[in-house]
Amino acid sequence: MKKVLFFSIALLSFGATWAQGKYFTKTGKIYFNATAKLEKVEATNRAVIAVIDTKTGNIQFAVMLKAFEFEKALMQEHFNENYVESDKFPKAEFIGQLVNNAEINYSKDGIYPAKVKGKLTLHGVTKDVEAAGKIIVKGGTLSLSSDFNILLSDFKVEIPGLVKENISNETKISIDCLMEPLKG
Amino acid sequence: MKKRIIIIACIAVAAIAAGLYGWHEYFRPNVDVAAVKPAYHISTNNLLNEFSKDDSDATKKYLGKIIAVDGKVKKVEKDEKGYYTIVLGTDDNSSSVRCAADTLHMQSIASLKEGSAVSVKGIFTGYNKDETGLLGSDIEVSRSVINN
Repeated sequence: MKKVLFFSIALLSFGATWAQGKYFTKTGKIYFNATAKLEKVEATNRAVIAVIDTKTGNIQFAVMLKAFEFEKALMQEHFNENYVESDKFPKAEFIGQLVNNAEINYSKDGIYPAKVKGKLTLHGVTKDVEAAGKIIVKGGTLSLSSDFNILLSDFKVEIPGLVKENISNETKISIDCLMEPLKG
Repeated sequence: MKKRIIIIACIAVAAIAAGLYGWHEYFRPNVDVAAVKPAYHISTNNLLNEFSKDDSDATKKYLGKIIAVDGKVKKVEKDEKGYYTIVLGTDDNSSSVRCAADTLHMQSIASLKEGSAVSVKGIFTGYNKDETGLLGSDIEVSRSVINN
């Protein structure tokens, strides 16, 4: 019995130390805008899963494509069926690194510029992506935000000729994640 | 002459019908999940078991479908923007069913109590397998409403 207790405590404390310095959210926001002309082509996703390890600067995002909400149902259907083919590729993922992690003092409240580099997988295609943003450290939470552009053609998302005028190949992505410490 | 008028009238009616259909389709709002019968009705535990057994099979089966899930409220989360998420599951299992509330039906969700039994209906959007061993795997459901 004592042995079991010892091992349980050892395991628990191991878990706690391992989780140290990690922050996460499961309700991060991603917004994208592919408006080319008059018609608004934009959507929001409020269930982004993100984890950051402040010790190593490793950062990871997972986004369910079917959770993008559009104002118009038809646009949402086209997005899922014709563009990102979410039945075949339900998830988009980013795995990368905070390049300037050493410059961020996670124990001191403040606004820090952040540079992120990594691999974005969308529509079955993985590409290197770089983005600049900021991290706000405040009262034990991290707020990470970034705006960057991707080219739909880089991810083999094809826009049919008929709607080429309305959908921009260069799409603006905005990320906004309020992250809490992860307790092991 | 008469024949020509009939043909023109037919074309005009067809054009108007096509126009109206196009207009209706273009402005068609998203379906209100509350008014739709779910494709599947399942308990939280059975759903979690299905995903832990074979997540790619289960994803194929449920992806994009409206599902009703019965279970215990593990947590009701309110995020920094005021959006609610109902987390279904038990304390002894780190995996859960995360149901993001439909903004039109947020009030009934906000008043849910932790530990109470509930049936939630929404669209299954994907499964996130936990690889850190700390976060717990998640079955993601969007546009969720209380299933009456």
